[in-house]
Amino acid sequence: MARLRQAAAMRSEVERLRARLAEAEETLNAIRSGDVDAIAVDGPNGRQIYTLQTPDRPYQVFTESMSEGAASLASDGTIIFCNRRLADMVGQPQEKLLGAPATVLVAPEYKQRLKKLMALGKQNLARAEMEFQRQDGSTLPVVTSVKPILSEQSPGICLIATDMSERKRAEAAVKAERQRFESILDGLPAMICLLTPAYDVAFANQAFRERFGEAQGRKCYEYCFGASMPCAFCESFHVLKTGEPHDWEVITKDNRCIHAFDSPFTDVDGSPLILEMDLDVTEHREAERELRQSTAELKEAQRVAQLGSWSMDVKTGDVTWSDELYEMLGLDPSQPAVAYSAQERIFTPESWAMLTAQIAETMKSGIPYELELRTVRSDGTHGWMLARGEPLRDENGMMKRLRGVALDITKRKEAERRLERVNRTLQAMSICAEALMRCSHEADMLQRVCDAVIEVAGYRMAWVGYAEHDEDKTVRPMAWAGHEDGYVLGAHISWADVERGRGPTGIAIRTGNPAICHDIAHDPHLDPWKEQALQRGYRASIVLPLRTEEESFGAISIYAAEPDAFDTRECQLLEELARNMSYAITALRAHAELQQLNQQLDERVRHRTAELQSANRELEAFSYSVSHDLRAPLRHISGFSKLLSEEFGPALPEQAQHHLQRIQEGTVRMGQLIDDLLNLSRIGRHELRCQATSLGTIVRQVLIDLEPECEGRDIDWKVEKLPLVDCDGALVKQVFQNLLLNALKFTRPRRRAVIEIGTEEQQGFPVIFVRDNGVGFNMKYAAKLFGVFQRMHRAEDFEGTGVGLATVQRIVQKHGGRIWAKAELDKGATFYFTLAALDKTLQEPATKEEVAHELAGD
Amino acid sequence: MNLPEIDILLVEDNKDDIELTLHSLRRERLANRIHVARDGVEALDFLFCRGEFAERSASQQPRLVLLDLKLPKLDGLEVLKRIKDDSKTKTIPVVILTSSKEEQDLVKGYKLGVNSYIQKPVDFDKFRDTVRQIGLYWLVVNQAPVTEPLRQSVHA
Repeated sequence: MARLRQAAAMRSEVERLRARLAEAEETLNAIRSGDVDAIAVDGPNGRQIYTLQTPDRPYQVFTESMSEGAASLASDGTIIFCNRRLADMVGQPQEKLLGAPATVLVAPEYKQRLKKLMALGKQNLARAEMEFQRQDGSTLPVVTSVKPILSEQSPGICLIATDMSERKRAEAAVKAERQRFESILDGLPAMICLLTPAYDVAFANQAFRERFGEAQGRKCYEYCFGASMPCAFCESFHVLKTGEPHDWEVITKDNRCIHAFDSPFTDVDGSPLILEMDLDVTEHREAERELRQSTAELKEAQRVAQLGSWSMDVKTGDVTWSDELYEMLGLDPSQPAVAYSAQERIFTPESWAMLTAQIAETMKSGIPYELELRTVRSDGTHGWMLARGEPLRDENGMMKRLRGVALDITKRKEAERRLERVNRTLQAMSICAEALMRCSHEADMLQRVCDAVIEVAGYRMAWVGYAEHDEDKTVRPMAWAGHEDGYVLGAHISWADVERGRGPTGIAIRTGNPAICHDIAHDPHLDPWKEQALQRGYRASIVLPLRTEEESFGAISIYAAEPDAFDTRECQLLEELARNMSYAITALRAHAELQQLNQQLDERVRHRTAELQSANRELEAFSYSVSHDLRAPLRHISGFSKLLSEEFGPALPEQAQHHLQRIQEGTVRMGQLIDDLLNLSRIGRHELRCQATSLGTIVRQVLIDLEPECEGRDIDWKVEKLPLVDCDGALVKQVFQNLLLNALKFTRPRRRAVIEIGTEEQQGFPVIFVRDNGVGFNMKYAAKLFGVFQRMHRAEDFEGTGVGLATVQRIVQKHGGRIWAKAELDKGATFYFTLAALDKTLQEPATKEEVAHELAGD
Repeated sequence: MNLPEIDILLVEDNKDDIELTLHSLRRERLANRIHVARDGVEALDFLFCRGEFAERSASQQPRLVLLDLKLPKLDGLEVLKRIKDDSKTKTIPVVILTSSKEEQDLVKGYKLGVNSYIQKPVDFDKFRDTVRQIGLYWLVVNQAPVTEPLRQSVHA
């Protein structure tokens, strides 16, 4: 066995030596051919490099001073030669590297790559990136380039390694920076892209990409607008022409407003590009539009409200105004605002003083102000302004500016003033109304009205004049108040159509319409009195006529201290005042007249009453004497004729007796007649004394009284329930007495008299009736029934004076009633009568208490 | 000289009435002694025992006065008043006998204290009867007061 081993060992050793020899031969050959520049020999001191000291020395220096690592490699990849740089790159001494395979240079993961590269390097120039592995384990990024060393004897590879670490670092930095920029670009809300003249998108940030999608390979017009051709006029490409930045806006199909900024951009390689930034300004524009709108609305509102705004720099006094302020003051808006120092002329002195004082105060205290100021416009007219101001503090808290608003309140103030005036006038009118109602004295009333007009309504002077009907038709002053100073008495106003009658007073009285003089100073109507009027401060006047239905009887004139004091409303009120006055005066006069008439009437009434009373008295006296004086002779006639018949009767012939009898009867009748007549007249004069009276009770009384008449007769009394009536019992008793007596009288021929007394309703009214079954009468003569002395029958058939029914009628009439009769010859008669009070008292007959009251007046 | 005692003083101015009244009184034999005064003055003079009747004795007053109202000179009511006002004559019954039935006369008369008021009936029979009744009542039926003994008048 040991021999085999030995043999094998000896064989391998020989092989090895052979290889070495070949190698050395090769080397030698290489050296000889010049293909090798150096030899690395391992000596006792290590490996040593032997180079040919040839004119290659510059190349040597060159090689050594290269910043790249260089090496020559044999075709199998062995490092034949390397420079110091290379060795440094891997952190190995050169000697170590000589003869080592090139793959020791690289990190393990790159070995393959290197091999491939070397393979390529045999033929071509090639390059690859890889990493060298250093001694200390770190890696070094390199770019290795290989080139074939063309030689018949020893082809090899030339290897150059460039340290990439810097570059890599730089690259990394750049990459990082680029990354950063890209992030920035991507993070921007704007869409940014770079366009090439060929409509390609060289670069697009994230925003762009999100909107349009990946632009890779697509033309800008394709994906932006969906077009297949470039736009006819491309805004973006405009910049290429002008070389100037250019921005423009477009509304896209989906209604977004895009603002595009284009600028020329030179790429790193100098090629012209377009840098475009697109901003979606839709909301922006929207907000702008809204702002514009609200600003416009605000402006409009301000304009409508006539509200202006202003601001002022306190130190310089510079002022800015909105348009309304100019308008308020009648100034030209194109002119600068009037500086504070010059503003004195746009306010009245009082207002200016107030404003300056207030501003000073506000600047001190910081408290905002609000003032009503009276302005003077450019045309000299006055206006009113409500001004508000507040101070603005700067960052240090100092008040450097004032700002505020101003409102034109001229109209409002005017209205206020008018209202106040109207109020005062109304008040005055109310006082006048009171005076008009209360005063019973005409002159007093006129004075009160004038006083009220002055004191309450606040006018300068007022007077009332009446239109006289004398030759001159003067207007006579009746009352005045205010600053009169003799004006009225010296005015000599007339209402005739003469010079002194053509003033407002004369006109008002003649025409019956109010006459207004808005400006006394310039109205020719007042020429005769102008000087006097102006002297006393009358600047405007109104004259209101005082009228009855047909004509003016006077006028009230009112003077004001300023012109144009009487506007429409004022005039209306004053006209009403004049109407009220006219009415009151007319009423007063009518009242006075009425009173006078009343007095006259009273006088006449008294007179008449006196006459009547005296007539009555005469009548009473008459009937008194009648009752006395007529009876006496009658008595005598009766007496002596009786005596005659008694004393001498037997001696007298029958005829004489008969005569005497007739005389007697005559006297009796006459006596009756006198009594009846007296009664009738007494009833006429008698004042009714009415009380609640029971008719039934009266009838019962009368029946008792008539008992003697009824003696020996068959009488059927049918007495129904009779009501309680308000009446004069004594008189009503007479009514029943009469009627029942008549009933008895005219039923005498009957065997059985039937006499009914009761009530019945006729046409809704209660009626009392007395019915008998006596001889009745012919209705033909019914009209005469109630006449005095009228008789239906012959006296010898039925006695009676003919006064009874007349008396009854009188009594019934006095009670507001009516009496009538219905009869049939030989059948009977019914007498009906009503009493006014019956209507209300158809009820139960009297109670015991009422009976006690009955006929108390009897 | 004392005049005879008088029963009735008739104060009446109308002669016919006087005649008829006297006739009626005498027929009834109610009174014998009747003095007629033709007017109010005479009546008062008689009663007060003055004037032509100064010699009369005041203690002998008539038992009844029939007084008409319508009298010349002094009115009947005035006479009544004087009679009733004076204590000397107050107690003498006075009957107004008159044609009038006027309310006012009635009222006035009674207010003045008349003892009775009668209206003269026109009818003579009634007249006679009335007078009779009056006389009967006042002279017979009615109790007259006992006349006080009066002091003799100066004239007596």
